[in-house]
Parts: sequence; structure tokens; C-alpha cells
Amino acid sequence: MPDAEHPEAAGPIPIRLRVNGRERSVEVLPGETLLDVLRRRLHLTGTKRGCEIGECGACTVVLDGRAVNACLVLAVQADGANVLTVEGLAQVGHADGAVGGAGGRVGQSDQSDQNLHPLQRAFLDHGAVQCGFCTPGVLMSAVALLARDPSPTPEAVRRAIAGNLCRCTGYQAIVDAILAAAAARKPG
Amino acid sequence: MLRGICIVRPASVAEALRMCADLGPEGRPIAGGTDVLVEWRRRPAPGLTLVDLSRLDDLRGVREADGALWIGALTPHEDLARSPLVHEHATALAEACGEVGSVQIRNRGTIGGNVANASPCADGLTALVALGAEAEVASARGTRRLAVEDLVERPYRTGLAPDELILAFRVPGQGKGRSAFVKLGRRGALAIARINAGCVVEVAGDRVARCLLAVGSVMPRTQRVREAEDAVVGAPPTGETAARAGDVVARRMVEVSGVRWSTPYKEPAVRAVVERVLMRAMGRSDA
Repeated sequence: MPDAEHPEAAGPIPIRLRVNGRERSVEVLPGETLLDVLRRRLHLTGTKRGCEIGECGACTVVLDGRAVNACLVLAVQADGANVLTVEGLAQVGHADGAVGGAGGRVGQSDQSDQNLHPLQRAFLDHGAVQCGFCTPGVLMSAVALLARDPSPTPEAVRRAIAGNLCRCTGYQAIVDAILAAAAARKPG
Repeated sequence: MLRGICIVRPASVAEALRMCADLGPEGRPIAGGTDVLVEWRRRPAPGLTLVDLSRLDDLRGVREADGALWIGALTPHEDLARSPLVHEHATALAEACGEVGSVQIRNRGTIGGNVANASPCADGLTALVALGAEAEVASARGTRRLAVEDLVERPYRTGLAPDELILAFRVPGQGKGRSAFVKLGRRGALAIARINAGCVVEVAGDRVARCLLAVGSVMPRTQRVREAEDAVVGAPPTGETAARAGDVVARRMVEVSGVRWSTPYKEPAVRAVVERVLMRAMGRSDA
């Protein structure tokens, strides 16, 4: 209900986001979340819609360097921010600007595999993906962790992914994969 | 998509206060949104206009001021959990903020929001009360200071007027003493506190010289328990003293909240949480 003092309060609001390195300008409604904008307007459906109350972590993205639940950020609150989603991890996505996750990669899996982010590679190597629904969110939590703490302890890894529910793996394979990716990045 | 949301986006504290004054009871401040949006999804309130505080960068951060800590109300829990200043001068607050929700929640949820939401089980709130913190509250009419303990009136209700905002907290710091926070939840992460407790203990010689003790989720509002503090001050910093304080808090809980279905579990649990938090602040490693 728009109020008389602030008639703009209910209308569409133009915002700017930098998503996976690319400037995007969108008009959003006040009730749209960052998750809505990523999935519906930018068609970046790698970020999953789960509980929508910040419990499951399936919608985790990195917002200005921090892991957040995209379902609990109003899009207008992210105005001007830098957003990294799972589509931004693989270098192939950066290289040709195809961050829209539009598919069309059939038959090129070998090539795109080589461009996976080291964490994505480690997840595959350690069998850390089963049904896959939680995977994008867990990856983004791990990305934020390793950016801040390149050599985390197993305990720090567990803490960092405590907000990401996985009903398949029992977490051990995920923890192993993140630790392996961290170890592989260390010089020497 | 959250239905029926109207939002205004002030760019300065002055503008925010003006908007809150204009909107009166139809305004609802939103900071990190981790409580407001979850509540909105459960029960939309289309008559309200959200006042988005997230661009008020002046209200973010921690600094030392006049022997106390100034903590901006918009500082996220994760920043407080990681702040060396908060660890050194207000350990209980750093520990409490590190226990809130998940990393994702701690990165968004703010200490001002934690207090303003006034949940009886808010972790940051308990730590601030235990540390004797004051809130700096402002409206277009002026600014006032009051003890955080006196801010919350009953579950999910503060004494703030509809046009008032919490701008910052002033935390006296633990001085020569130590502070600690302990939470009992159903699981290690993302658990809402069943019981939490924070305290400051200062030992001089072989006696406790000063003690502040606050508990959350135990009585209708988060508060200090003076009878228990009195039982500790002047006594030796031992497990026996801590246990006696635990008994006092458990007794006080039953006096205030009455005997409920949860009392048979909660009495011994409250006793143990209080004992543990005091032992930690006394520096007893066996706790």
C-alpha cells in the first residue's frame, strides 16, 4: 500500500548490480529478493530456491565478499553490490560472457570441465555431489571461506558450511573436498 | 517475492529519522532483514512501510571511545565475532555473536536488529545486558541513552517509540575482569538458544570483586539476576560459588515464570549453564 508521504515506496526501483563481473541494471519491486532477481530476471538458476527463511543455505551467494542467503536480502538492499554466484566460478563462464547458464554446452563437457573452479573440481573428485541441490550454495560458502582463510582447519570448514543443509552426503565428502582444494592452492 | 512490501531508502541518519517520524506506527525499520523478512514471509504486514537502514554506513563499526566500546547498531554479528577489540574488551559479546545462526545469517543480521527484535532468546542481547551496555536511541525529537536491559519490555516488544531508532551501543567493557557467554541449543549450529547466559567477573585477590550476570530464554525478558550476582560477590572464585549462583537463578526462574511443562528439564539446565558461564569468566579451565 503506497503511503501519501512516500509514493515511490511501492513502485519499481531501478538498481545496479555487478553479477559475476558483469554490470547489470534491473528494475525491481520492493518485495523482490536478491534470489528472485538472480533466478527470474537474470536467469541465473544455479542459485537454488530452498526454504526461503535462511535455514537451508541453498540460495547462498557471495555478496561483497560475504556469504549470504539470497532469500533474505531484498534486491533493493543489494543496489550497487558485487554478487558472485555459482555461474561465476567456472572460468569458461567468464571467458565468453555466458554467465546466463543458458546451456548449449552439450558435447563440450571435457572442455568446460577443465575450466572448473578448483573447488568444483575437488567436489567432483571427492564425490561431494549427490543430488546436487545444495551444491551451489555449499560451493559459495566455501569460496567465501577460502578467500578469507586460505588454509582453514577442518573445524573452520565445518563452521563455514554449518548454514548449508545437505541431506545426501553426510558432509564428510564435502569437508574433504574443501580441505583438498585449499591444500592444492597452497604454493609449494 | 514478498507480497505487499513498500520500502523507503534513506541515505543518511537524519533522513531516516525524518522518515520514521513521518511514518510513525506505519514504519518498520529493516537492517539485515534476517528477522524482519522471515517474519514477513510468515505473516505479511502490507500496511507497513519498511525503512531500509542498510545504507547508513555511519552506524557500522567498532571503536574505542572514553574507555568504552562504541558499536554501531548496523554492525553485523560476524564483524563483532571477529573484532579483536570486542574480543579483548567485551569477550562475551564476541562469543555470543559467533553463536548466532550461520555465517550467512551473521553476515547480514545486525546487533541493533538483534536487540530491537527483542526475542527472549537473542544471543547478542544477553551479552550486551551482561556487559552493562547502554543504547543510544534517536528520533527527530532528540537523542537519549538507556540501559539495554531496560529497552526490552516483554518478548518481541521494546520500549522504543515508533519513530525511534537504535543508533549505537556503548559497552563499558570488562575492565580488569573477564566476561563469557554460554548457550544451550538443540544442535551446534543454526540453533535458537534454549537458554543463554553471559557474565562479567572480576577477581581481586582470592575473592570475586565484581559480578554481572544475565540470562536469556529463562524469564520473560533478558535480564540480570541481581540475587545471583550478590551471591557471587565477596565469595571465592570457585566451582562451589558458581554452583550456588546457578541455584539462585534456577529458583528465581520458577518464582518469575512459574512451574511449566519445561521446568523439570530447565531447572537443572539453567543451573548448569550459569555455573559454566561463571566458571569460564573466572578463568577456570575445567569448565
